[in-house]
Amino acid sequence: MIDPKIIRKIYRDIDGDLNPGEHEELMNWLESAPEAKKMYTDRKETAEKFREEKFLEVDVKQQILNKIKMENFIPTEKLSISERMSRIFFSPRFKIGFAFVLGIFLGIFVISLLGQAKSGKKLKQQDIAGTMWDTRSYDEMKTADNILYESPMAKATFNVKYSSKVVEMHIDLYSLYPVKLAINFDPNAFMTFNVQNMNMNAQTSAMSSYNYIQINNVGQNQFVVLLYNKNSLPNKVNFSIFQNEIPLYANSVVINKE
Amino acid sequence: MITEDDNKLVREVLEGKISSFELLIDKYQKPVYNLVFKMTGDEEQAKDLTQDVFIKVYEKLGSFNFKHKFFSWIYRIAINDTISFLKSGRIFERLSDLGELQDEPSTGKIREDQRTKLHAALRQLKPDSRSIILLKYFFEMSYVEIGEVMKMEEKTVKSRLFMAREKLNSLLIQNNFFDHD
Repeated sequence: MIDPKIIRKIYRDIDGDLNPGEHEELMNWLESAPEAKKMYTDRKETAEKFREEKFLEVDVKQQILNKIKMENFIPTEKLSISERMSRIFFSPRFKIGFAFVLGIFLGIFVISLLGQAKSGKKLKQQDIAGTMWDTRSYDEMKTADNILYESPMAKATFNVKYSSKVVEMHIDLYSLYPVKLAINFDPNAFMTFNVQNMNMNAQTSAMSSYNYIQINNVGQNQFVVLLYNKNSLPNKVNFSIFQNEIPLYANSVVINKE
Repeated sequence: MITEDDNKLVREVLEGKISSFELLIDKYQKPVYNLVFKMTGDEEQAKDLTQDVFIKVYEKLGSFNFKHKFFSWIYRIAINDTISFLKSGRIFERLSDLGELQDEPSTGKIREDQRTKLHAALRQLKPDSRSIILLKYFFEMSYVEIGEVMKMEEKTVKSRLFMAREKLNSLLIQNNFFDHD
């Protein structure tokens, strides 16, 4: 019984996979093992017989083409999703379609621009929401009222302006002793946006809720109060000043008068 | 086997150029036919199967993976179709008669009885063993190339080839192939 490793080596030699050194080593070993040598010559002869076989000539081209012509089938390449997408995007049909749609959108855009230029309409500053102290847009807003209150206990000015979306109140307060300023309004008409202390000392505080603002004032302070103007109907914002819960002053400003 | 040329031809066929498919037929009809003929031993059947292989290749060309080699793909189709044909039993009687082989041109060097015995032994092998022997000896493919055709790892190719060769050798001994001196 010959070791399978030797048989594998014999096949490697027949296949030409052994280097000259390995080949010589195998040949020397085979000289000393007649049984293995016989096996080697047999297998080599088999391989040679196969290699001597010639390729037979054949011509079935026309038959194949005739059969193909009888079929309506046209082979098409199967593509991955990304390949398909890229082919779609780069296809002339897609490009033309894309250019057409883009042209329509551009046309609409240009026409709308031309229409606006022709009508001469310009957005007014008061239509644009929200301002801060001393900004031009505040100056552009509609004036609701400018209220001045002066007494030995307190002095207050309320400059109230509004746009379609925002009510902005610039409030100056002065009192030697603590006073309370309460601002309230209909929550269906307004909503507290922001209470900003522009100039406020440490003894003064401000608080707000959905429809109520309270400022506890001592000394000279300045505030900007912003409300969200929910609708365009005339609505009131009420101001009250108290000292020790005793009313000193009460007034109201009508927003959306026009 | 120049793979790049094959791939180019395949792309052209897919673009509708039928003449490129004719070039593929010119290039591969002879090896495919010889492979099928060596496996079946029937000349007419081999011609029919060769035509079927090319029709199938044409139909399935859309699914050809360009990462692979065209020659390994067409040989695989040829082998699989021939194995299916052989397993169908339609050629059983012819194969059972070991002495009856189709005429081939005499090489002048190989004695006819030895060739008969060689082919008889080959056809006694299982079809997949037969194909692996032919790819190695007749087509002189490397293990890697056989692996590509048979869709096997190189290690598996070596193992299967070893077993097929040993089986063939035992059949040749039974058929007195080596008793010629």
